[in-house]
Amino acid sequence: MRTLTHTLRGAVLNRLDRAVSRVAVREHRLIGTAMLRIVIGVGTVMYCLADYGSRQFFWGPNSYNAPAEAAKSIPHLGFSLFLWSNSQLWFELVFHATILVAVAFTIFGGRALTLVMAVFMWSLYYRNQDILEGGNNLVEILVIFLVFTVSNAYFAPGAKRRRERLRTDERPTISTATHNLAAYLIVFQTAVLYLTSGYWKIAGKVWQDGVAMYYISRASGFQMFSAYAHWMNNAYLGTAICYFTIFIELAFPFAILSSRAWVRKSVTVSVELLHLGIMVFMGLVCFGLLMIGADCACLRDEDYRSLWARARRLSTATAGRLQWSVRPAPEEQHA
Amino acid sequence: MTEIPDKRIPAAVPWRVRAFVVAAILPVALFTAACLVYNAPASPAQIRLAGSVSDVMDPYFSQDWQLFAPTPGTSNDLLYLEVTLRQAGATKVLQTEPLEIEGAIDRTPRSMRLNPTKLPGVILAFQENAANYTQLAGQIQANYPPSQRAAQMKALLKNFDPTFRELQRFLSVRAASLYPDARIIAVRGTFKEQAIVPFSERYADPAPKEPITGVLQTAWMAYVPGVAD
Repeated sequence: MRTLTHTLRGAVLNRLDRAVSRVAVREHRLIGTAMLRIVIGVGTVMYCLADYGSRQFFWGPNSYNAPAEAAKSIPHLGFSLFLWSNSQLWFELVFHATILVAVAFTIFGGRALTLVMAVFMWSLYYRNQDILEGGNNLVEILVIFLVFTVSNAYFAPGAKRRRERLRTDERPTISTATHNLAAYLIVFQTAVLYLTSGYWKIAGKVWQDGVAMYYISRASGFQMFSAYAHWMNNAYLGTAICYFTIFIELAFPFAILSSRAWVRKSVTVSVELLHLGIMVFMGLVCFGLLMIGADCACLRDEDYRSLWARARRLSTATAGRLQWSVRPAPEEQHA
Repeated sequence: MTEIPDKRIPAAVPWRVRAFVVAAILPVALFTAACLVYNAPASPAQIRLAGSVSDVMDPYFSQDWQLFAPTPGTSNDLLYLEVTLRQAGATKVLQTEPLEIEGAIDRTPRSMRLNPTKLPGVILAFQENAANYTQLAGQIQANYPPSQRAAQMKALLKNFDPTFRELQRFLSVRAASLYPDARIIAVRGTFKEQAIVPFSERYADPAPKEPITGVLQTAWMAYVPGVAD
């Protein structure tokens, strides 16, 4: 009986250790979280600079959105550093600190800087909620999870050294487990967004009828190019884009779970192209950028490595062909 | 026969790591479940759980992804500005003709396509609030007896007071930029909408002209000087 208990305990512990090891031995999605970091930083800088000249109007102490009114619209437990004082100096200090922190966060990353970034980003968004585009809602959540990740193992000063240290340490650690659980939450939250968004679209009549793009292209606040409205007159093109959007949004959560790399990569790239289209044709640049950042976090490190290898092969082949095409003809060489 | 050790799994996981992972998985699982329920379409089960789920999600994880799947509007909004003012050196008070200001604001992002301004968002927020106010005011008229309507309307106006104060300041800035040399006294906004030509009539010749319908007209609001200075 004692031997049986001992064996059972051993088996349970063995299983637990296997599960714990999967979470705590090696950091996953290091490239994706680094890309998300860069996109959030760049997106925040662009958000501030887009209306830098009108910063008094949007966020200043004499804004049309008066600080007292803005404070009333902040939910319970919400905060904004901008509303701590109504002085012009404080506003300029916090606004420019937001830009500087975003630049530092883009370059360096790291947990402490991510926390500071989260505080400034939340403050900026809560100062004026009229002008938010929707992408802010996702990054407000993702930046909390990002605090717990190693977001500077790529594309940051000292990243190579940091990666080597992570690779050499094969012991299960709390830090690694924290990173992986936070990375899971980032991917999960993004997947829920697409699933919900796809669900609401498929339940909407104009999306079912394939005419949603026609009406979107005619919304006066989102018309960046007249050609866009002209193209959406075409019933085939408009319907195809409507159905494609619904399909990839509903497919996204399942695709990122797929063991087939080409499924993960093709659906993620499709979603990114969708957001690129929104940036170009609807002018929602910060929104599109932040969404692309969230999509980036959903690909695995090996996906990026294979995409990088393919891009290099393609560039080598293209360079080879270009060299071939500019090489003089044999007759000319002879002459 | 000797067992080949699995190199991916270290010989022993420290107890503190085991304990941490088990403890950390609990809030992660809680968030996972709460997030799914929070975003689920309204159903009897979802409604029953909504209160507890909101305790977990609000305010830092509150989310609304219906924004990402809008049923696109089938009309475009218009905002007209009227101003009462005194021209420099004149004593007579003039009232300007209603001037549509939203079209010009909606076109501003095109001047910087790489990183467009967020200005149209301000008008969009006002339009949404105006539509909400009109809808709620209509419900009061339809559902309350005449004796209670005035009190209900007063309460509604109080709720929307911050929005109208914002609008007052916003229209003051626009008026000041439109009539820089005049002494502005008051501003008034009128929200209207114009239906988009239906998809089925997009090639009709002559092109159909959709009617403009009124949504809400504000009272005259005193000009607020010094906004955005």
